[in-house]
Amino acid sequence: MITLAVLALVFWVPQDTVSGYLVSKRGRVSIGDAMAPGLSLGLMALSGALIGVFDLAFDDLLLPPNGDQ
Amino acid sequence: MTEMLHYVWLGILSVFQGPAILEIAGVGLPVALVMLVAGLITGIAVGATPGLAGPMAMAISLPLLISAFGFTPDALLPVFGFLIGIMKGATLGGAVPAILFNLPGTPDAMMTTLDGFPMAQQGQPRRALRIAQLSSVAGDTFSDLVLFICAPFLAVVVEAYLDLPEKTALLILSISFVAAVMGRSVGKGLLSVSLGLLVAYIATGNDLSPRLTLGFDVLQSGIPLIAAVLGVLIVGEIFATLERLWLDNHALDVIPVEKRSTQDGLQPGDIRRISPYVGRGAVIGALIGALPGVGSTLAATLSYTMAARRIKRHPQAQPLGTGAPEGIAATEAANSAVSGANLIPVLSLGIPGNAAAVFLILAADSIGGFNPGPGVFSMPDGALNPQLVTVFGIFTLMSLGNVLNWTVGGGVMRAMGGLAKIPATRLLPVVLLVSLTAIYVQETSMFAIWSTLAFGVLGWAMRKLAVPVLPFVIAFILAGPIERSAREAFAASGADPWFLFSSPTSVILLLLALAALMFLGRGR
Repeated sequence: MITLAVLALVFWVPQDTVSGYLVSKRGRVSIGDAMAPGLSLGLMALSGALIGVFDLAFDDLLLPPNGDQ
Repeated sequence: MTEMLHYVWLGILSVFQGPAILEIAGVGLPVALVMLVAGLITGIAVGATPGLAGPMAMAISLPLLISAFGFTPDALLPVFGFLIGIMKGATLGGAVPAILFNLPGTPDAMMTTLDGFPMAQQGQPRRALRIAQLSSVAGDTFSDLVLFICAPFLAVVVEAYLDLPEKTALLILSISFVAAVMGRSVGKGLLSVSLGLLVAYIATGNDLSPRLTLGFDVLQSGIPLIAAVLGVLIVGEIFATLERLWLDNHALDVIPVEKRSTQDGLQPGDIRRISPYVGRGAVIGALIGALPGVGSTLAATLSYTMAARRIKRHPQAQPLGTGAPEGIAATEAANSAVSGANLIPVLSLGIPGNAAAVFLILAADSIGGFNPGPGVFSMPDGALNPQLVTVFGIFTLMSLGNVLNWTVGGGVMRAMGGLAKIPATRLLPVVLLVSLTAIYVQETSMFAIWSTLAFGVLGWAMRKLAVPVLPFVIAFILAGPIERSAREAFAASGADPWFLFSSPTSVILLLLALAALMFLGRGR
């Protein structure tokens, strides 16, 4: 998930948005169209890290409730 | 104050003097009132049918209602009336199969089975249903009163004290809170939020060329809101339930109660016995309901646990779990008290807290002319705020819904007892078909149907992976407002990258968001 988010952040978002993360027009700086999706993907990467660290890679899915394999 | 009372009066009039649907003896029946009654009956029926739920009925009916009433402000109260009726009816109806068949009609009625079914087994199903009705309606009424008082107050505070950076921080706090309290872990909650945000940002934005479309022309107009919400929330649930039935065909089978006592019905002293538990349950439910994302199941569980602790202190009292009226009362009062309070963040901040609130926002968004948020409570000098009239119209409909639940709700509940016997394997495909038809009626494009099915698969996969779905929907709805307020706040601050930390209030809100993620998600 982290890899997916980083790949999307590096390749998809910059390629598929026109204005980038910040826009500077006539000396005025404003937030570009890439900022919100970029932050969402950053959040996705963070969630992937949290799941990896605290949920031990979805082990609750791989094991039935009683712990038997 | 006089001005406020004037708005209250206009709200009441908007319900009773609205367009008439039919005339009886020369007296016109207001359409909003008729839709409220229809919604209540539908809600009780849906709540009494295991496998269905209030949000499911709201999802199916919303596109049909909008097609019937159109996109004018006149449509707001009839549509809201029906949806509010379903919301109120479903909380009442959920207790029916829980008591009669040991099968909760809605997830929050799970705790009702613990005492409701034993009481029914002891030959007193009518008594159990009556106690559930009284407790549920009392909790709901209390919750509505909390809403009527708190929502305008909160909206005024937000409008007076929160500027753009604080409003952005408040929205961030809301989605952080929802991510933290829902699901099994904060990581999964945040994953759901990030997916919801990302999908919502497709083909939106300020540039002339829409973003994140991957070159597909069909994505140029973005993902239809109704397709994403209904897909993840409803179609995903249908897929998950059908899979459960596929694996265990008897998962939703009913256990009928045959025994019937002659001493059925409310017993002398029952009201006095349950009153303290109803009161405590109502307070717990209203407090929990006011927080976005915290569901009625938690309120019911908490109220039942507290009631059990209190009962244990009295050795002569009937213990919970053996058909004690206190158990039914504590559960039903708490889970019903969530619904009204849940609308506090919706009406005052525009932040949906549960699935029912999502559909009310969706209705407002689809019809137009009503934008839930602090602005609806403003009273401009020399001008009328039609949104505030609509709010008091909604409050009137909610109060009338409570009156109907108090008076005829019990009879309708008993009449719906047989619905639990309809096999879910036949019911759910029909619901799926009607949902897709309803979406096509509103969107009139096959892209919306395919999107709904795709989001249905996403919703099913999220349920399989124990990723909560409600944060996805709430993030999808709040994505636009968050981006908009952040852009405006950034521009207003003169492109200060630290604009979110420019005031103590926004710093406190952001710290609360961080604290919610760090502490509320622990231990689950």
